[in-house]
Amino acid sequence: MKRFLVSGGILAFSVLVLFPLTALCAPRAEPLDPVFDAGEIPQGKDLVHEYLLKNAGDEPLVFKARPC
Amino acid sequence: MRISTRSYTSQVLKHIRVETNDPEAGLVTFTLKAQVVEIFKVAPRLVNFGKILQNQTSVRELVCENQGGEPVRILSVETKPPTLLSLGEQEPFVLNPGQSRKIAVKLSSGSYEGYVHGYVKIKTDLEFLPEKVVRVRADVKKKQDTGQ
Repeated sequence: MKRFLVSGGILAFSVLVLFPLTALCAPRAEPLDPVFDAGEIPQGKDLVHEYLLKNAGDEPLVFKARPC
Repeated sequence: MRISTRSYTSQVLKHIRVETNDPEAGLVTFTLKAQVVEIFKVAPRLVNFGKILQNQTSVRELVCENQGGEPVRILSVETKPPTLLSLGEQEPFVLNPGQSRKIAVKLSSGSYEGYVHGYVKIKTDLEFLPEKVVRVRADVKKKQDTGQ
């Protein structure tokens, strides 16, 4: 009975304390101004814009851009 | 993101998709929009002489138009290959705002046979558009021997 209670206690501790902690430990990609409208531009001029991608999480953010 | 607007004549809409290891967002999309203004317009953008017989000449016209607010100086107009294409006029000229001008392009098929290609290159004083190239093509057919 005592062993059962200890096992149950460990399980409850894991679910209540460790699971939320692991859920928080994650990268969070937060794009800043993801849509940019350059307005009118003369033909021939290059359109150049830099975007910012912020990691608002608490683990390293890994990313790879894919033009489409 | 960098996009050349040389080949655009109206709206530009481009997306970049960024794959991340964010368990919630996963994929992030960035969008770039712009409205390209064609200050110096040349029409048509492609000259197709269609089917033409050997040793024949044909003429088509290009219309150059200044749709901007400042004069555009046309520094030179040249054709390639010179054995196939020639111009009615080659002198530099200025197009004032709203002004247009025609350029005659002559194709001499000569002894060529099959599909032939060339181009007209118009050089301008525009900072972002130093030249415009108009492709030219034709299908040269062999003259039928009547046997008489």
